[in-house]
Order: sequence, then structure tokens, then C-alpha cells
Amino acid sequence: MAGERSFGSLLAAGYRTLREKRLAFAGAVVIVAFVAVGIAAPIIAPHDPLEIDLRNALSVPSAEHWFGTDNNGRDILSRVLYGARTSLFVSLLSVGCATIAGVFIGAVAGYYAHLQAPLMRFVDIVLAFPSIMIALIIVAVLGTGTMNVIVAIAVAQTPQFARLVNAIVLATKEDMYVEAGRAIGETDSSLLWRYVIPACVPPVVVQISLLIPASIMTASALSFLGLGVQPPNPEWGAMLSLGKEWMRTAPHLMLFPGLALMVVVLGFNLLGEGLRDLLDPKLRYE
Amino acid sequence: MSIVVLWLTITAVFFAFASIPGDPAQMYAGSDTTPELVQRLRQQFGTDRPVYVRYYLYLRNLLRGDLGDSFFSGRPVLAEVGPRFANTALLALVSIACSTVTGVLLGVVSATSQSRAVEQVVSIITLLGISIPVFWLGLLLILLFSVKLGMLPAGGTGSLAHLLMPSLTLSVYPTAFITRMTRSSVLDVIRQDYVRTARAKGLPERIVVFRHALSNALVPIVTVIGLRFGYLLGGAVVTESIFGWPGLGRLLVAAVGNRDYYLIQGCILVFAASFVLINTLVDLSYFYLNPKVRYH
Repeated sequence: MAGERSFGSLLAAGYRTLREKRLAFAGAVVIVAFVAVGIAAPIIAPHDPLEIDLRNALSVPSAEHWFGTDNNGRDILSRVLYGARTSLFVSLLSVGCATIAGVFIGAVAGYYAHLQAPLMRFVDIVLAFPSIMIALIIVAVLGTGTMNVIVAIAVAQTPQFARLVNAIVLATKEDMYVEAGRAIGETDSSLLWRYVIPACVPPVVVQISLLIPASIMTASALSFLGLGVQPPNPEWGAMLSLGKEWMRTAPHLMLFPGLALMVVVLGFNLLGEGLRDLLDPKLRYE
Repeated sequence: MSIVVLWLTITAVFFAFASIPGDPAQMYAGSDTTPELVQRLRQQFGTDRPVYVRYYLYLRNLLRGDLGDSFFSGRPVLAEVGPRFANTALLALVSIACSTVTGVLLGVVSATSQSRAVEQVVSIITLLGISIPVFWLGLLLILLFSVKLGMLPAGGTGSLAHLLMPSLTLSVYPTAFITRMTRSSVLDVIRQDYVRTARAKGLPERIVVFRHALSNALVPIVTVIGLRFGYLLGGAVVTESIFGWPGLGRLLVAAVGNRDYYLIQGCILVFAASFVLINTLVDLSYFYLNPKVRYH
């Protein structure tokens, strides 16, 4: 039972896995670099990402502009670096909200039998739709913009956490140690928070690591469609949308934002799969 | 159950749009307008009536096959959605067919191959497949095959050549998933006794793998194909926009941009109905694939 392992032993096992699994380690390195770039973008970016310099528009990669410039002469390297900041912000906030809301819904529905059917039926309906579709509907209601994208992705991902936590809670609440807690007179909420929720932590961590790249991808897709983060804000999907227009004359516009997006998503996928192998012993011993 | 899902979806979407602050009539009339025009638009859109009346009328008209008129073009939503849906369905079917063939083959090869190199190549392909952004892949294909080589049209519809790049783009992600699921479910059955028996009887490996092992590994594979098919319709939103493919996804994006509510609701309804239909078909297929389900 994963929930019975101490946090320290998990960390130690995580460290061992990273050492054994070079791919998961590479993923972790990419993520650390992504987070570092996202935080330090204002310090390390060579230019202002919004600074327009029409004399240098559409210039190819050079010593001055490593990734070249776009149609407004803005430095693409700086925009890619700031784009990491945008993606980091959007994905952390949206997945964070989805985790809190999903764990709450899943736990409450799983623990209180009379709430199980109505809540989870609703969750199942939302789950039947691809998250980009849910996000589109919400953007249609709320309008475009960074905050609305965060809300849209959070709502689209909440059911995934709710479904996962619900299944675990349903299985855990009949376990002996929860029975024991009930026998010594613990209240429902104390049982839920001290016994049942901790069992959900490892799978939820795996889920977070797999949904962060999904969130980055959805946000970029919305921005690519012109419905997410609005120009001139530096965002990879929006940059790709601009790159599409200039593909024939200046293909470098669409090269670097796409590459950045793919490397970051790949990093999360590598680490997420390593984590899943680590936290799901059944898979590990196969 | 399916009907309830559709009804709940329609209701949720209807009230979500009804709760939006602001007046669509005012928005479409623009700022430079007369109160009479706004009032006329309100009557035309039906937004001058209370929400519950609109909801009742919407459901009643829906049952008669009337999804309302597009705010933007004034044409009936059904006439807008119909031909677009046919295009999306074509794209999605071609893509899922390609994904299924490629994915099952790659998965079987990877599960049965004795060579570690083959296994690793397949796992790298699937990892790249789930990590590459669809819209970037589409742009790269256009850059290579249309701009540089001039072999394929960059967008539009009408011929097989037009279908090639969009369906390839759309099929990469599901292919990766189907490959993984095939690999793991074939690995599950290949160690079982009846497979060893089949080999011991001296059957050729081809028959052991495809007839004995694969047919028992099919249930999870079909589930994942069904799931991915639904997601493919969602992925079509982005792919259609890249290639200018006149499908339902592109119509939905345009409708969201125009805040054309009846049209958005119409698109979502068609998408939702497709998801429900696919799920039902997947459930039915278990009946044929798994005799255990049949006898219950």
C-alpha cells in the first residue's frame, strides 16, 4: 500500500530511480531548466521581448539575435525565454486549481455514499469530452485572455483528479486502519483528512506530473487558435501562429517556439513515466 | 443513459451561455446603431424572452431537428454544421484507420521482437509521438512538403493529396497510444499457457501471434482506439485550423471567436453525440470480442 510508505523512503526511492533511469533523469533536468528559465527570464533574456525594432525585422539567427527576429524585429530568443515564464505560470496555476478542486470532489463523493452517484456521474460526463473541447467552451463563455485560459484548463482537468481520487477513496475507506480509526471514535472529517487523503498523494503526484504537460499543450493550442494568451504577450502557441503566417519567407519564426514546447513536454513525459514506474509497484516488477 | 448525457450536456452548455453578461444583440449591432435595430436583433435571436422560455423553446425545436439560426450568417445551424461534420468525420476516420494499422503493427512487433534495439526504437517513436505538439508537427509538414518540396497542397480540400498531411498530423498522437496499449496487452497474453500450447503444436509464429495472442489482447486495444477516436475529434479542432480543412472543429473555433452561441451549441451537440455514439460502439464491440461478456 503506497500510502503507508514514509515521505523519506519515497524520496530515497525517487533518488534511486533517477539514478537508475537515465531517461527520467534527463526529464528532470529539462524540467529544472524550464522552471529556472521561467523564473529567471527577465535576467537572462538578452532583449526586451516586446521591444519593436522594424529595421531588424525578420532577420535570420545571428550573433546579436541567436534565434533571429520576428516580423516586428522582436528578439525570438527573448520571447521564447519569456514564453517559458508564461507556460510555467499558466500550467502551475491551472493544474494547482484542478488538483485542489478534483481531490475535494473525488474525496467527498467517495467518502459520503449518497454524494457518490450525482457527483461522479457529472464527472464522467465531463470526462467524455476531450479537454481542449471543454477549454474551448469555457473560453467561449468567459472570453480570451491568460486568466480565462487558466480557468478553462483547471475546469477541464478537475474531473481527471476527481475520478482518480474517488477510486482510491472508495478502496481505502474500507481498509483496516480506517476501520480502526473509526473504532477509536475519530470524526468523519478527521478520518478523511488524516487517513484517506494521504493514501491519494502518490497517484495524485503522478497525475500532476502527467497533466502539467497536457496543460502546457492545451494552453498553447488555445493561443495558437487566437483564443488564449493574446499578442503581443510572449507565448509559444501564439508565436507559432505568427510563424505560420511568415513560414514562406522566414521559417525560423516557427522553429524555436515549437522546439521549446516539444522539449518541455518531452521532459515532463519522461519524468512522469519514471514516477509512475516508481509509485506503482505492480508495473515496477513486471 | 446516452440520452441523459446528451440532455445534460445541452442543458449545461445552454445555461453557461445564457449566464454570460452582455447582450449578443448589442454586440452584433455594434456601437454605431439604433435602439430599434438592437430590439429587432433581440427578437430575431430570441434573447428578449426569459431564460426558461428560451430553454423550453430550444429543447422543443431541437426535438424537431431545428438547432436555431447562426447569429453571424443567419443560416440554420443544421445547414452550417452538416457538411462540416462530414468533412471532419472523413478526416477522423482516415486518421484512426492509419493509427490503428500502424499502432497495432508497431505494438505487436515491439512485444514479440527478441531484439532490444527494435523495442527501444519503438519506444522512442511513441515517446516523440505523445510529446510533439500537433500544431507544430502540422506546420513542419507544410514547411517540408508544401513550401520546400512543393509536393502537397498546404491547405484546402477536394483530393486525396489534400487529405494526406492533415490525417498524418492527426494520427501521430493516437498511433503512439495504440502502440503502447497493444504492446502491453500482447505482452500480457503472450506468456500464458495457451500461447505456449499453440507454439508447442508447431503452429507458425505468425498464426500464434495474430490469431491466438492478438485476438485475446483486443479488448483493451479496442477501448483505447475508441477513447482516442473521441479525442481525435477534439484534436481535429487544431489540425483543421492549420490546414484550412473545412470541418466542424474549424467552424467551432470561428463560432467561439464570433461568440455565435447557437452555432457553438450546435457544434458541441454534434461532437457530444459523436462521443456518445463511439462509446456505445466500443461497449457493443466487447460483446463480440470477449465471449465472457456475451455469456453474462
